[in-house]
Amino acid sequence: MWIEKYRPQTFEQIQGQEKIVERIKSMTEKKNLPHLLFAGPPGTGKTSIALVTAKTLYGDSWRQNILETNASMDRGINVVREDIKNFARTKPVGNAPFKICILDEADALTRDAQQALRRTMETYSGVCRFCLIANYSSKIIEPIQSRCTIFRFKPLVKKDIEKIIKYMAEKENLKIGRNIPEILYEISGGDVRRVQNILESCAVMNKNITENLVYEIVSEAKPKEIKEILQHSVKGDFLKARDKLLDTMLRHGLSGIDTLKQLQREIWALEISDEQKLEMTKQCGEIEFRMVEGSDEFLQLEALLASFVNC
Amino acid sequence: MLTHKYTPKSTKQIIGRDQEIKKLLQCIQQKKPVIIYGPTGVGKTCSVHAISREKDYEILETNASDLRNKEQIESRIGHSSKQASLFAKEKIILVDELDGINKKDFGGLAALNKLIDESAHSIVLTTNDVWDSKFKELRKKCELIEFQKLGYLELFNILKEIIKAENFKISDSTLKMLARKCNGDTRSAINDLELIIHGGEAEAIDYRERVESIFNTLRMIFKGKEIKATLGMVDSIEENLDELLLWLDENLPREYAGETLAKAYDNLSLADVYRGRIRRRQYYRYLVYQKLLMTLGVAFAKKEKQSTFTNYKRSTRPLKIWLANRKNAQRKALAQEISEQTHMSGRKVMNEMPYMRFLEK
Repeated sequence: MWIEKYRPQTFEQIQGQEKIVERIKSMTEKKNLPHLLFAGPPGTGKTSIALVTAKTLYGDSWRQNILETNASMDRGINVVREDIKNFARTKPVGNAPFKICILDEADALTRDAQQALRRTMETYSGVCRFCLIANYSSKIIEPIQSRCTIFRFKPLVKKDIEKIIKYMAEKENLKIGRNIPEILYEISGGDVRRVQNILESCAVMNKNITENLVYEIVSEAKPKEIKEILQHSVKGDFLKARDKLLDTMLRHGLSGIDTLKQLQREIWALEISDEQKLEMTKQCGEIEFRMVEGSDEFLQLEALLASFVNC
Repeated sequence: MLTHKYTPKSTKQIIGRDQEIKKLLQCIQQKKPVIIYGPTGVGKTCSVHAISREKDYEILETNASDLRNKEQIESRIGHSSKQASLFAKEKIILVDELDGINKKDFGGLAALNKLIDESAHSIVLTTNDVWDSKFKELRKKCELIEFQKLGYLELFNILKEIIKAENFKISDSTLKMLARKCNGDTRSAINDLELIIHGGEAEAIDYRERVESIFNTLRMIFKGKEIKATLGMVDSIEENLDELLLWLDENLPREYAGETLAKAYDNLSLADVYRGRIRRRQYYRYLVYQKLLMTLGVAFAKKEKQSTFTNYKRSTRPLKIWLANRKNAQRKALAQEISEQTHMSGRKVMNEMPYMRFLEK
């Protein structure tokens, strides 16, 4: 799988997050790490940096000095109180300065499990450092945040995504169309994992990566199609807008929420006033809320399109 | 880790808490059970350890990382509380992180209640929130000592001592900014300090920029109407959106008036609705709408860009609310006791008994 094949193995290989990499690298070289909390959107390098840190610190025997857990494992309070505590209190192997306990997807830990972690982090900080990884730092309780140094990861910028695509294209012998990096960047929103998965899926079908191929693989409509729907509805041509909507959704197998997300994104590319864009986005929010509360998705989308005339 | 290195090892090293430490020491010496409560990072646990080191007590600690059901409490703590110490020292039994007791610790609180009556040694409990109804019985039996957040100047002094000991130079203004940002959480402040010491001058400057950028963000929102730049700024500030909401709320009336103010507040209140929805449903997609409404919703409320200078102030609402909550919590606890005697619900007592308003400790 390409996401594992191309996972960075050293600090130099990590794209994006330059400031964070610099700091962690320097702390690793000095063999002095605090407890870490990596927070940010998916696919931005959080787990990769944690693993690179472990490999740099411990060399080949890195697996012996870390405990890696994630949301697919049992991490109830019992596990925290027993297994994790036992790992934390035993000395590191070899002449490592300390062990590392990586708690991936830490925002899936219940409040109680996090409470149980507090004192363990403190008492055994001499022999064990904790690295928590989360999408939303607000899901981590305050006492844990207080004990960690928080690093906020941002989505990667277009330049970095382009570099990664170029590298993979060379290694895997892909032919990348000229506007593909831009398209992939837009679709992924700066999520490297998504880009790699899309490229891999495309490459299975054809090593020549074209726009059509990409949109076939991801279940997304082309921006052109979404724009058309929006333009019809803003003008007041409701029937045309609705027909195009149904057509697009069926062709790409889109769900109501997926369609809504795309509509909401494309609003900002239309040629209308900023105030109008904001009003239309507010409408999207209201409709999304109605969808989440449980309702007929298509009806909600129709209401949305009809409302755009008033914005 | 600096937090480890500079954890107070004697009561002299604990700053800004002379009254509380004196009271705590008294309780320990007189073997009166005591609950220490307060927000995170204010020194509850380490004070007990410092006292035990200084006065040569033996300390037995349990915390949220231990199973604390009836069995465990009786066997571990119960046992120890009745025995004399192996080393013929006085003992402190520290039950740390009381609010970490949950459903798995079945029967733990009840066992603890019993134990307090029978213990031959001093018992100290710590918790973040002491007014939770499940601690009602405990509150009756124990002295309550509150550890409040340190003021930013006290925190500043602590940090200054540390950098002196670490032989590191940071400007006073950066230190003060650090102290303010950490909001009374000493541990967090020392962690931030460690990061700056590691990274040197560049890190210190970077830190300032991150904290100062809240002002730049406010300026962009209130004065300008640029979409991309404004959204970009919001992504880069360290403060989370909740804090930004408070800053916007506090400073909106300084910037806008009349219809513009109404429009802006409407969007801000709608942003808050989405925030509530995220909380309740954990559906983080709403973050997109919350962000847009807070930033562009407020920015576009005005007709034209502005260029006047405004001095932005931090919101004082959280502090006022926190103070009010404390008073309220004490009143609630009192109402509970009255309600038991008068066969009424606690809420009725609060609302209907007229003199409840005047009962304040």
